[in-house]
Amino acid sequence: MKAVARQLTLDLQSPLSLEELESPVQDMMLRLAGAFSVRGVVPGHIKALVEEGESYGSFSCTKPDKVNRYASPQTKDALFHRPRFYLNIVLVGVPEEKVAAEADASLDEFLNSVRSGTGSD
Amino acid sequence: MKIILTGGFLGSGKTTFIRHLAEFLVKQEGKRVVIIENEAGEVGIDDKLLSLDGFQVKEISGGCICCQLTAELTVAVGQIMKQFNPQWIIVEATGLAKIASVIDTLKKYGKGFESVYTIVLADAERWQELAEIMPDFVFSQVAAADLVLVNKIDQAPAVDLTSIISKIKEVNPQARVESVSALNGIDEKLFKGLIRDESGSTPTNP
Ligand SMILES: Nc1nc2c(ncn2[C@@H]2O[C@H](COP(=O)(O)OP(=O)(O)OP(=O)(O)O)[C@@H](O)[C@H]2O)c(=O)[nH]1
Ligand SMILES: [Mg+2]
Repeated sequence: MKAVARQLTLDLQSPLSLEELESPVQDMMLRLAGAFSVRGVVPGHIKALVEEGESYGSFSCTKPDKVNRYASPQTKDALFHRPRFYLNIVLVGVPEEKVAAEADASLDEFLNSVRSGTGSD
Repeated sequence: MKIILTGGFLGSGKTTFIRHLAEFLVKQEGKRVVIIENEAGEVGIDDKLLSLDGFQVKEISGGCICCQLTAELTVAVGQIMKQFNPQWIIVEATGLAKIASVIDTLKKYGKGFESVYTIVLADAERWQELAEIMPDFVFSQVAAADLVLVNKIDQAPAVDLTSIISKIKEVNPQARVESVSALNGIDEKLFKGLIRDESGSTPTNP
């Protein structure tokens, strides 16, 4: 199946709220959406999940100009220290290698902006 | 035990809808519900989200239940029945699944359930574009449905909505077609109607 999926643990140098994580996650997803949109839409789905204990936020992008966020109620005031991060991209009509390369570049940029060590696995 | 199969293109709102449906069945109707999540990609996100929300979820990953993983689907249904004996199983297919093949698999090889009811979501926000980019695929998903939910109507102008609905009715004259905005919640009436329709849908393995 043509999907590019990445999972890693963010090792945040200083804890961040979901609000603070939102804009770097958005930037990453918008970069991906911009690279692969066709006729003004994402020909598939780009989504991400940040999760630590009971707190989580999920992000989703199907249009190149917007990212939707969904969060559990208890996440509002929570701080993320070492959250799990998942990225999942499925696009129709784009070679998987191209998506993977762009995903890894965007992910690097994201890790830099949240000042995370790569607790990748 | 009854099965609700949920399909529709990537990002059309399947998980958002299932969250409401499962909540209705569990909280309002007091039913035991298990959700089967089949997601494109090795790392699933939807199964984690629904588990975090407190639902019972079984993940099938590493391929599609419409082709490589047909056996896994029927085995999972059997296991769930033994382990949880739920009244309802809700299956979320991947956005790339050929829904008609999943229905075939369940009807041919599935055991122990009364019926399969198929709901397909159509993304009103991207309908026009997706129908131009991959018409055959988008229409084939809709053609397999008992109920088509035209979703994200908060993002589609009324004129577009009328033409989307008429196209869907042309592709699948048998299906019931409803417009919803799953993001903003689903009217309980839709769920009640769905349960009523389900009781009338074709029994499997009679
Ligand atoms: N505006 C709007 N957005 C919606 C609506 N329903 C769902 N969405 C958004 O659409 C995006 C995709 O929703 P999902 O429920 O993840 O879609 P899906 O079909 O399960 O996606 P995949 O499993 O990846 O194929 C999310 O950002 C949702 O918040 C709606 O009624 N209106
Ligand atoms: Mg989903």
